[in-house]
Amino acid sequence: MKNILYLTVIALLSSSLFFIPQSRAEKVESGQINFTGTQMGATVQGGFRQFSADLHFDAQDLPHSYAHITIDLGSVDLASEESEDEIKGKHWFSIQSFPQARFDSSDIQRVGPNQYLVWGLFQLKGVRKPLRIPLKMSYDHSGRSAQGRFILKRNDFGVGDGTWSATDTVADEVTVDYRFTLIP
Amino acid sequence: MNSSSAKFTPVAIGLHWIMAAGLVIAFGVGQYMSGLELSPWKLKIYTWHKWLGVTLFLLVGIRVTWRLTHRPPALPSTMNQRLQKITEAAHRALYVLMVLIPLTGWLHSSAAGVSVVYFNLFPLPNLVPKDKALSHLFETFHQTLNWALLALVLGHVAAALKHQLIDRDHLMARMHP
Repeated sequence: MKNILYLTVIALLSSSLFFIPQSRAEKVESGQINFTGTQMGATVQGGFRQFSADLHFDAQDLPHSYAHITIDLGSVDLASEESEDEIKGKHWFSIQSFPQARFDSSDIQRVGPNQYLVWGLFQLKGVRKPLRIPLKMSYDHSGRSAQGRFILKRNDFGVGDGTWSATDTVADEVTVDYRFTLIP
Repeated sequence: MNSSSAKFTPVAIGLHWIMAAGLVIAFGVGQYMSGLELSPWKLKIYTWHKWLGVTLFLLVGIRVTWRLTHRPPALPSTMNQRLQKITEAAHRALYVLMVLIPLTGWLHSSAAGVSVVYFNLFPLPNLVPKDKALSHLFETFHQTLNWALLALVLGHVAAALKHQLIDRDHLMARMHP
């Protein structure tokens, strides 16, 4: 009985290794997308609890590597219901009309050891703009992780319009931090 | 009578009145701002409230140090032991609240993921990580302690007026600027 079990396991493993073509899209084991805004010179931390990331990264085959990320803007976490209600509202994300933000990569360029630039289109609140995202890959025993940080200008996307568009209270620049752990 | 004619040190008197004014303003602003709809104005006034709170936190630090190193004039001997004990406990509670209120405000802001940058110049560290439940908890502490402070301050003022108008022992002159 035990032998049969072993054989089955070995058969399954070998079939997955040799007979079934490997699926290219990695599963994202865990990830974080956070942002930091500035109000009156003080940092305000936020993040998103729900997003989906369809990622494939092969350092030897950058042309076929890609990133498609969809963020559920309604999952925004600002540690304050009042701020969350406001940011979901029409002056900011306007999630009734634009429930998601999206990034689709078009090109990945190596700029240094484990350092890359990911070019693509970012869509937020009905505005599409080209975006360049720095990417750092790191490898350890638990797997691979992709991380980076970049700055978005909220006024480019009409996020925080009307009385909020002035940048003396809430700064235009928002720093976005991401980190994904990939299962190879 | 001779004991109550002794004055507090000018530093103690100065700190008392500056903090009294600051606390009244911070309390009033706090009451006003929490009812506002979220707007740039609200964020501004929250920031100013925090700056004032940090100022009061620094002042209470100096004040506690001063109080511990300088003996205040004794309470009038006409006050009975029990009343003197109550007075001392009330003063101690005022100090504790003057420390805890700005501290819980800072904790509330930290837990809300909003840092405090004093006068837009000096960034204060966030005391706890961003956590909504913790933020609500510290907000409740901050508010409740403020109501306790209000009650104690009203008692403090009533006691001072009683000394002035009923006992007529001129106790208030000790704190006269």
